[in-house]
Amino acid sequence: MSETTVQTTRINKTCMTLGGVALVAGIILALVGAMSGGGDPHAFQHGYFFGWTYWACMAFGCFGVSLLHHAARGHWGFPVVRIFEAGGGPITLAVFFAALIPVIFGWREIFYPWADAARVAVDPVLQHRAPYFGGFFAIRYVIYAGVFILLSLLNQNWLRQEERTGDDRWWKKRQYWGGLFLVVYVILTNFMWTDWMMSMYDHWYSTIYGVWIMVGSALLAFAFTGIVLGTQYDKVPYKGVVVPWLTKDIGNWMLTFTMVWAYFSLSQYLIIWSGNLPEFTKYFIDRSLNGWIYVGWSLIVIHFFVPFISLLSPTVKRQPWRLALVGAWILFVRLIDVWFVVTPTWKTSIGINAVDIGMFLFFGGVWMLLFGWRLAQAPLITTMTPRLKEAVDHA
Amino acid sequence: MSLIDMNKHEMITGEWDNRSIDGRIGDIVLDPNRHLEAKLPGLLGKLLPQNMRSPWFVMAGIGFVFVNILLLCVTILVLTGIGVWGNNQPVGWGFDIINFVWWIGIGHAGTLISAILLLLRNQWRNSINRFAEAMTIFAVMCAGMYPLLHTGRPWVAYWLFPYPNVMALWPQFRSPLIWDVFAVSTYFTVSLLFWYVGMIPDFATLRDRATSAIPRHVFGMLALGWTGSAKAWHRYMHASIMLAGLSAPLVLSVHSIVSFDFAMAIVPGWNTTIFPPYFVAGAVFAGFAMVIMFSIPIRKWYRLEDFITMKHFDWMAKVMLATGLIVAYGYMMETFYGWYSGQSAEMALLYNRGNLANTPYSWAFYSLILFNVVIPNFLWIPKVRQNLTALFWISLSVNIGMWFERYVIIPISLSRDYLPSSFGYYTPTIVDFGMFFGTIGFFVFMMFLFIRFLPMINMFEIKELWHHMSHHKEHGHDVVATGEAH
Amino acid sequence: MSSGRDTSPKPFGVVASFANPELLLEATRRASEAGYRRMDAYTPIPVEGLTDYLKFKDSRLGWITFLGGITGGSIGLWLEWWTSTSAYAHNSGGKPLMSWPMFFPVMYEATILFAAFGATFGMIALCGLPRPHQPVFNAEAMARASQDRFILCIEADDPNYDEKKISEFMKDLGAEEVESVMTTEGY
Repeated sequence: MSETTVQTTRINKTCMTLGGVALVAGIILALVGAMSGGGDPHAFQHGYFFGWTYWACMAFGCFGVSLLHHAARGHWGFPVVRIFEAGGGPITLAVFFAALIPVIFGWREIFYPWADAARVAVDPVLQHRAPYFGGFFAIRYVIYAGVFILLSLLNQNWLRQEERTGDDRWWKKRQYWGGLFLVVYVILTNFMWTDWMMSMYDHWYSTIYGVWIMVGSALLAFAFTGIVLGTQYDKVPYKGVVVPWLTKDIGNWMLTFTMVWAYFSLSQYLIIWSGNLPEFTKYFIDRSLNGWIYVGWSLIVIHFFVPFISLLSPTVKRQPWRLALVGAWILFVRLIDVWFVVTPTWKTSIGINAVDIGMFLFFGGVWMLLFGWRLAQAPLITTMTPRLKEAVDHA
Repeated sequence: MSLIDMNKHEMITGEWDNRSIDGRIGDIVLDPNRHLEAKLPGLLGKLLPQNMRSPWFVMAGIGFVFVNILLLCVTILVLTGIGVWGNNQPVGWGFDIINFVWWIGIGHAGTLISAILLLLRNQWRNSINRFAEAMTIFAVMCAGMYPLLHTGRPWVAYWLFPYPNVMALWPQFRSPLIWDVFAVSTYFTVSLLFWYVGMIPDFATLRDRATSAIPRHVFGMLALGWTGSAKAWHRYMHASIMLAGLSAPLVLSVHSIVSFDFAMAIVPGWNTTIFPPYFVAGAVFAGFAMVIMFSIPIRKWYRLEDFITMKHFDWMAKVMLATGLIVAYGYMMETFYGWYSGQSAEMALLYNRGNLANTPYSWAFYSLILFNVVIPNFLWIPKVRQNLTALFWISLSVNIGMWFERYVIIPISLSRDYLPSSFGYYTPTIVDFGMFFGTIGFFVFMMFLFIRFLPMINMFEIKELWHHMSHHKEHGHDVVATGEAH
Repeated sequence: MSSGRDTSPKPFGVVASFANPELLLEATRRASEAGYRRMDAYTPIPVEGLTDYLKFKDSRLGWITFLGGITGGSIGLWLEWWTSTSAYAHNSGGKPLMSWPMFFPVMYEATILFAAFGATFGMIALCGLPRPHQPVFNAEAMARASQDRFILCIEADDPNYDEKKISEFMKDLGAEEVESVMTTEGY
């Protein structure tokens, strides 16, 4: 067994342990929470959707940035492409799509006004949208799942072929199709979040919403990559690969997506605040009453200023462990943001219950287990050395 | 060896040294004969008298004619009032705002090329940045004219700024139009500073190369006494990086604020949250198209093939394609959510845009889709990106398309909003067209003055690039400087 | 000149020109090791590493820019707050007098504008510009310092200044030309 394999197994074991513990703890917490109930009759379903959303964002984000790497063929991607692939590969995507089946087919009435016949009967807008939802909603779910899994399968296959044969042809292929795949990804992801999250509102819509969630997802993926690099930089096989320019590039990606997230959030808020039309302001009213506004205010500081100022510093981007700290912080603030985007939709009071935390841990465990498992399927650092060597020499 | 590699190869092995670089670029400014050497191809070249056959004279001449048309139109406008334009109720914003947004957008590529690529330390940007920055300055000048003249009394345009006055009035800071005043004036000022700072070392070179007194004194003053001291270079590079770091978010904010001019209002089709990023992408899209359109003939006339290489064009075409796709995504979102909203005003807007048979403006929408979405998608094909003729025409199509985009956004939404009794139709007048083509002429004229009197390619950065490349070659490294541009 | 100041030409320094940046870097390193402190290099392109050998470090420009930004942002926000809530307070579109979200853009632009002023004018001022004529221009070699010559100048106020010794030293280091420079009459 080569040293590299041993090291891969070590990371794999860490992920498996973490994932396993989170999974078990999550199930226990969720059960306790569901039993005690609280005031919400659908606490379990709501918690389920919340936990799923955060980690689905992680999986979709990893898939998205892998496509970004394929299309742009930046040097920054070669050492970390396996992390993206393990985090958002075909099996992970399949599992997260499958986990949504109960929402798509079973719990529609709990989440979506358009599934509530009584509301549709009195609401012309919902009647107008009726043909788009209903049966077509399920068909779209199948399309999203099918296309995403197919694209990631193709990419994974090309990556494996490239490693096996060392043939230039494969990365050229990834790059050639990368642009088109990215276009498909962006369009489908937009409609996906429109279907699953935006349509929880009867009238509200926002044209930036899809890309806004997408940017948050990409931020998650880069933050997680930062953590992996920051904790593994002195160990084989990352030793010698995690060089200052790589952490700088990953740090700059985190910085870029932090800024884009802030830019989109601000634009969306400013336009809706200024327009002041009832069907649009509903979204922000839900997020300002009952104490939610404090979460919103604090996001400006914790989700923008803290990572922004930290990532501006060249020192943070040079030292891997500092980058890992910022990455962990971003993982945390993304959680607050997802909580702020998802839960006020159905819950007027601020507060978090055991099911939410439990389901968050549960899906985190699922994702971690899948990540660890998929990571061990191929060498951590791709062996198609010419490009990687070029990337490392580039320093 | 591909065409790209060949250019790279030439650049490394070619008979270059620092002096020949200065000579080739600096002489375009210092030696007027360089402008006469360039020859116009084809019939036009034969028709003109011998001493006017230089493209510089032809282009600057055409530009000058249109500058006069612009002046004429402005005179009519100021003497008569803005009634000479086609704007009227219900379409209070017409060509003036369309052209304003169009020009501001064109300027954005310059800042982006300079700032973002400097931050990414992409050295090969060096040959197009100066040129593109000049475009920014002149495009913002063209843009600024429209709102100033639209005030009707441009001589009191300073009222837009906050200053203590006897009327005890202050600007309305809740209005996106006042944000525009701040954004555009900041943008112009910062671009000018960035441009000027970038030229200081080149002014020093021109000062030292000048053989006659006037250029030596003029460039001497402009160079501020630049010595090229290592300490000065140290601060200079620091200042450049910081200006780039400030310009990149500035360029995003400027077009976002321009988009707020629309998005803050509740006019159907305007109050939509995708506007800021979609406007920014559209600006970069049009800006790169303009850079490509200008650099293709200039490169040929002044024989700058080894400064502006096919690699530059390939990269610019890719940026154009990427931003074009974002813009197309914007149209898709507007259309889909227009339907999704279920609101009658939004759906009526879709009808007004899309129904060819029964609406007055749908031709504009379909032209937009043709010029801005269909044609630019040919850039997916690598061969098209390497074909300068194709690239030129696609860039022209993009510029036309981006103009139509603003036409679609402004008159279509304004002419038919919530109140059917005040539906109307917008017809631009001859003064509108005169001003539009006049500003294009102004832009062309200014660009050719720039080429004549200022170094159009950044000399010290090219020397630096050349030094890096020859240095790498000597030491047997792969040259990665241009390899980054994928 | 009646200022009473002595404006007669005085020695400014020894100027040596080199053909390429590598030679200059090496010469600067050796001169620095030899104990020369009052010196500067003049180059057509920025040469990385020169300032290290010249023992030159200055981070003031970053702070000037930062302070510019802070000043701009504060002035912008203060202006909006003061004009909208007290100097010319009126209801517009039912928005609050202090419309935080809507006051962001102008504050942002003002921050960038003042920071850019700081970076540009700070740089110019720290470089001692504008100063169209400088004593070092009296060196013949300086005519090419903006083109293709890399110049090292050891200035006369260096404690170890000795024209002859320095000239020899520079020639040993591979200088193409070495000359002593005087300041200009009347400056």
